[in-house]
Amino acid sequence: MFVPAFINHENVDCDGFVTINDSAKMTDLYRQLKLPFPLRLSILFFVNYEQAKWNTRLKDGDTITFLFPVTGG
Amino acid sequence: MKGYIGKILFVNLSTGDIRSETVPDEVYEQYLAGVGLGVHTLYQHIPPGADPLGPDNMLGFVSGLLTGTPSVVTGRWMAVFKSPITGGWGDSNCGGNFSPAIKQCGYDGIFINGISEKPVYLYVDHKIAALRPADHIWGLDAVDAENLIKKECHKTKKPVVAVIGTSGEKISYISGIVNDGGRIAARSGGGAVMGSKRLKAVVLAGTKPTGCADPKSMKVISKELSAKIRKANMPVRGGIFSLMGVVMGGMKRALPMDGMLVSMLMKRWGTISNNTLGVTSGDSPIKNWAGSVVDYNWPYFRNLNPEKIMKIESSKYHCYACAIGCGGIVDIAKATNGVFIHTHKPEYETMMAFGGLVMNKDLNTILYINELLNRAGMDCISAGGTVAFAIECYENGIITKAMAEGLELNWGNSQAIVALVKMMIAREGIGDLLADGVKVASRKLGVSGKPFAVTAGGQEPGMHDSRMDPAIGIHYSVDPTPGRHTIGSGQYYDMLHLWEKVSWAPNSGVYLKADEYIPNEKTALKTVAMSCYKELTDGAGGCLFAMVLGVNHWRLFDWLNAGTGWQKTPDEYMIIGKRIQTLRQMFGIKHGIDPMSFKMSARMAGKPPLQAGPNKGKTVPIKEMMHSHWKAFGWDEKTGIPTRATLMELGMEKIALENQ
Repeated sequence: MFVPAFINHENVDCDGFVTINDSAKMTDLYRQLKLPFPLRLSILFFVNYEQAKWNTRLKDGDTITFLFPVTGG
Repeated sequence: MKGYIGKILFVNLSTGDIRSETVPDEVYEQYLAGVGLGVHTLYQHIPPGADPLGPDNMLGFVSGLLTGTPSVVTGRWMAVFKSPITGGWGDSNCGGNFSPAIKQCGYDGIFINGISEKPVYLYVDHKIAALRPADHIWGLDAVDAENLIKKECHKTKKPVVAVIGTSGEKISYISGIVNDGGRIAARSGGGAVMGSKRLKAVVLAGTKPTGCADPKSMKVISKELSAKIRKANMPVRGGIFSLMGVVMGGMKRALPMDGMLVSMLMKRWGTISNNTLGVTSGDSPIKNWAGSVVDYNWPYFRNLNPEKIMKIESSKYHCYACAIGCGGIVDIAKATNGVFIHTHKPEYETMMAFGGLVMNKDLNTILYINELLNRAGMDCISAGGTVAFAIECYENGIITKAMAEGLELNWGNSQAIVALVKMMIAREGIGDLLADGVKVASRKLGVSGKPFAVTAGGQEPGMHDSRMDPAIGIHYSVDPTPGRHTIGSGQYYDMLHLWEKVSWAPNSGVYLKADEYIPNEKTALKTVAMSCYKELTDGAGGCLFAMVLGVNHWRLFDWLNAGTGWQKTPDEYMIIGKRIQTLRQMFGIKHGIDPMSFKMSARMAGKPPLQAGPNKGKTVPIKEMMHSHWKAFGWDEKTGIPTRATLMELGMEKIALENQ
C-alpha cells in the first residue's frame, strides 16, 4: 500500500503492508486507517493501478495507491 | 547474443582513418554499454590536459546495453566527451530513435576524434562507414539540416540523424546534439565539441538486428509493465496541480511513494505536469533562485497551466520502445505569428527556465524560444540560466542598455528575452559574451563568484530547487557532471524502492522532511545508491521517467539478466554502477578537476535564506553533505578523490596504479 504521509501509520508495517479481513472493501480499509471523514472525500485511490470505488473488494496481494496531492517525498 | 554487439567504431577526422574494434565481454560485464562503455573508452583515449575543443578530445555516441532488446523504455543514447564547460567528464543523453540505429549499424558505440579540415558528416550503415562533405548543410539549423540529410541519404532505409545546429557550429559551450527533429542531448556542451571537429552530423542507416540471451523472459516483464502503464490513468485535470503543490510544499513528513504515479502524469501531460505544481511547492527556482511563488504568483504561473499547452497539442509520440509516451507536438503557428508551425511539446525545464526563472508570464514567447533553441541546438536550461544571470547583471548596472544594444533587460520583459536569446544563438553583440553560459560570461564581466552567477561547477543547474529537496543539491554538487537534475533526488529515491532489491540501500520509511537537511550516514547512503542506480540506468539505455517507476515495475535487474544471461544479483549490478560512477569521477581527477569546485552556488544552498515562500528560511549544509556522500561512496571524505582501496575493490587496479 502506498499511503499519504499524513495518514496514521500504526496499522501499516514498515514495508507498506496492511492486514485486512477476508472480503474487505475499500471502505473497511479507510476505517482501519482511521482516516478523518472530510479527507476521505478528497482522496483518489487505485487498486492495482486502476481507479477503484468505495465498494471495490480487496484480495490478498492487491496493490493500493492513494493519491492525495502527493503521497509524500 | 547478450544484448550488446561487442564492437565499436573509431573515426579520426584529422586523418580520415576509420576502423572497428572488438570489445571483450569483460568490459560489458564491468561497465555495461551506454555511459559505462563511454567512460571506459574515453578514459583510455583522451590524454590528460587535452583541449576539449581540440583534436585530442573524443566524442562518443553510445547505445544502451538493453536498447534493441525486448525490454521497454530503454532506447536512450549517450553522448560522451570531455566537457568544455567544466574541463572534466561530459555526457548527455537523449531519446528518439538514434540509440537503436547505432546497434543496427553493427556497433555499440561510435567514437570520433581529430578535427576535419572542412565540414563533414559521418555516414554509417551495416556495410560501410564514410566521411562525406557537409559544406552544403553547414549553416543550416538542426531541423532543416536533418531533413536535408535524410532526403540525401534515403536509399533502402530512412536514416536516423544526430546533428548540430548553428550554436554547435559557433562552438557555444551551452550547445548540444540534436536528433529526431529537435530533441537534444543538451548538457555538458557536446554540441561545441562536435562543432569544434567540424562534424555536422552522424547519419545511421543500418539494418542489423540486436540479439539477446532470453527474449521470451524479457517480453514477459515488458508486457507486465506495459499493461500496468496502459491502465493507470490520472482522473484529474491539470488545473489542480497548483493546489497540489501548495499542500506538497507544506508537508512535514515524507515516505516511500508509488512510482507508477509518474507514468500517469507523463503519459497524459509529459513533464509540463510539474509547471504549476513546481512553482507552488517550491520545487521551481524563481527569479534566478532569489525569489519564490510570492513573486511569481497566480497572475504569472496561471499561464503555465499544462492544460493550456494540451489545448494546442496536435499529436503525441513515443521514443523508441517506450511504453509511456511523454512526447508531443504542439501547434505554435498562432503563438509565433506563423514563424514556426510546430514544436516539440516544451519540457518543464524549458517552461521554467524561460518562465519563473526570468519572471516571464508570456506562454507564447516560451513556445517560440523552445523552437528557436531546438533548431539552434542550444541547451534550454543553460540558456535560461544565462538570461536570468544577464537580467540580474542589468539590474546591478554590470550590463548596460548600451551593451545590450538598447534592450531593456528587466525581469519578465518577454520581448527583450526573445531578442537576447536570438543574439546568443547568433553570437551577436552581448549575445556572443553570453553564448558560453554563466561561467564564461561572469568571468568576462568580472563578476565570477557573485551570488547571481548561479552554477554548480560552472554548469547551470536544472529547474529543481535544492532548498526544497537537499538530496538533489548533493547530486548537483558531487556528480562528475555537476548541476545535473537527472541523477537523483530525495523524491526519486522514495519512488525507487531500491531497498527491496539492494541489501545496503536504506529504506526511507516515514521520515521528517526536516531530517533531509541534516548530513548523516543514511542520507549519504541514499544518494550513493541513487548515483549507482542512475549509472546502471544510463549504461542500459534506460529513461529517467522509467527509472523512477521503481525497481518492482521497471525491472532493470531482471531485464539485464535475461538480456545478457549473466544471472547477477542486484548487489552485483550496483557494484557495476559504482564502478561507472567512480570512473566518471576519475576522468575528472585525471584532467585536473578539484571535486570541491563543483559545489553549488551559495544561493542554491539557501545562503542567504529566502525570506518568503515554501523554502523560506531553509539552508542546506552542502559542504558537509558532500563530505558525507564522498565518505559513503568510498572516496576520500575531504577531497572527493576515489581512494586506492575503493579502486582496488572495484577491480580498477590499473587506474589505482596510474594515480598512485
